[in-house]
Amino acid sequence: MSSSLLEVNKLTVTLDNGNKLLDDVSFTINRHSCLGIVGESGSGKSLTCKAIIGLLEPYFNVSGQILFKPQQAKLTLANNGDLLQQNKQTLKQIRGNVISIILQHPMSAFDPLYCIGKQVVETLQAHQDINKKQAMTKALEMIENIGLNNPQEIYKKYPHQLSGGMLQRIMIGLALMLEPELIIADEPTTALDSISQFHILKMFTEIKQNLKTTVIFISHDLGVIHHIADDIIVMNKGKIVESGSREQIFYHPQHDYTRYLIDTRKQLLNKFNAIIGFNNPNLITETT
Amino acid sequence: MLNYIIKRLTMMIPILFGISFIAFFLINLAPSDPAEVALRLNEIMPTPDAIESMRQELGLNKPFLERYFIWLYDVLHLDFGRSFIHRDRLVWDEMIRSLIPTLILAMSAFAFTLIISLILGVLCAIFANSAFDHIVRIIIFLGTAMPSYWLGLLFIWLFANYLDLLPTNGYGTWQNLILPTLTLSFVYISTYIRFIRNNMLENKHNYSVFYARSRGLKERTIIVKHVLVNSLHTTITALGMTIPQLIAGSFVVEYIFSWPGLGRLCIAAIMNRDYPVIQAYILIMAILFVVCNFIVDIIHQWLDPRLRDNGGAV
Repeated sequence: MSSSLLEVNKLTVTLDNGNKLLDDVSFTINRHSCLGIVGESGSGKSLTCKAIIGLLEPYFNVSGQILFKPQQAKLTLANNGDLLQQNKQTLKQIRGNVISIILQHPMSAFDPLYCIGKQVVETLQAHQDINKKQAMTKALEMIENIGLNNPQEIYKKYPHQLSGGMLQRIMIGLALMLEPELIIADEPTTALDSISQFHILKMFTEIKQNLKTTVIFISHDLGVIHHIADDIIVMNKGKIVESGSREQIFYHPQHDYTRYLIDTRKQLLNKFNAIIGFNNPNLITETT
Repeated sequence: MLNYIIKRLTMMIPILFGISFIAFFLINLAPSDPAEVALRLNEIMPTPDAIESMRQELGLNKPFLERYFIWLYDVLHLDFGRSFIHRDRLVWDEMIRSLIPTLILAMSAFAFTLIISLILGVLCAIFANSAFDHIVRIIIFLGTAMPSYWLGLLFIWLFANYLDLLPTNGYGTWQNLILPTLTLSFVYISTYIRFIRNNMLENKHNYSVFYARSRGLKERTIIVKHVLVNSLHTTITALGMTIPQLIAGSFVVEYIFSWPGLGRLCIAAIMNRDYPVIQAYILIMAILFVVCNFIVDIIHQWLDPRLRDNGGAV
């Protein structure tokens, strides 16, 4: 019923000394779905993302294919849309515009020397042919849309004057602004407190419901993934150990590693429930 | 911002008073008697009587503190007194006459340093580890290792003697300015290229630069706005100290190229124990250092909102 937007085929990333950081990673993302990638730190989740947007450091050796099939974007992609084969100019057009990324550390993602508004405006102007005033109006609209009060004031704030949660919202708003076909969220809730996590997850739920966007959501938090993802892949040591729908992964895990992850989560939850004296029948609940 | 400027300017006043006292005090510790030197230089036999009357004429017979306050009072009225040696010359006139050539040389060296090190520093950072980068780094290495008196002579030999393009020394035309400027800026250029290159290479891997890339910004915007401006911190601090250094410390270069600047005036004054001239020189340099430091702080605040008193609030 739904066609695929991104197909990753046998993506392998090695260092010069032969260390394989990503080994034969293949997966497909369907249009308008949310793919969750779970795994411990160092399992290759972020590396996969970096490879998709073509921002891997030059000392990595990359092989495989990343086939991207955008529908709306006016792009001429060479080599059947293999993102690993595009020239710099095309990649620049894709980044931020067709594929947006939301990063893990909102506090250090923005340049500390410029106010937030300017950084939103510069992104807009990199992709659209609009003047500064129009871009400013759009930026202010965006700040209002993501639920922050006093957009005028927020616009002039510097990154260090805003909280991590606010900056993360701005990053999400910025990612959505250019109506990308694919959003990659690389642990967007990890660096935040639970209240901000809740708000951010709510934003993502709304994105899923209202907008026709495809999302790759990376997290090591099973609760968050359970809440948001339709399909899930589990990664460990640079390999995909298991993939499938949410129900499959959470309730009928096949692979030992997946079972181990889910059991650990259960044990933690049981312990927690025992402490607060509350028995929750649904063992894997949302963190929210 | 305005409050900050006023606060800093008020803080400068006690600093400058302190400096004026130290300048006066230290010079009076010098072992030889300026009255005797002044007599000898004017070819008068320094008999005890002559020295005594000379001391009276120069005001050296008064107690130390009294002399200091008389001098301070005069200085506040922009009167630096008369030279001990040439009694007919006002120190202020002498200073101004030498300050202008020095300022011309310092400013031209400063502008040259700034432009060249910015261009080469940025290029070295962009093309790090390329042949270009290696060549520039070798030149930098040489530039840091060569003392300016030797470099100056080398330039004179090459451009004036061998190629016969430029005058060896003198003052007045723009051709005269080129060689001293080159000599003076070489060491500084070497330092700044290294600063800019290394800071930029460090900042290239910033998380915010990665985010800027992932937003699809132009490479030029990323390099200039997000890498270079973030890398200027140490450079600006050092540049602020370089301006007074260029003015105060250029006497070697001035000497080689017969440039009639402050450095030469000051050396002559030190040799001749000409207290009023030395004191005026120290005081002017101190003011320059304090003022440049202040300007650097203002520029830092202007560039980096985190350094502002109110954290950059609007």
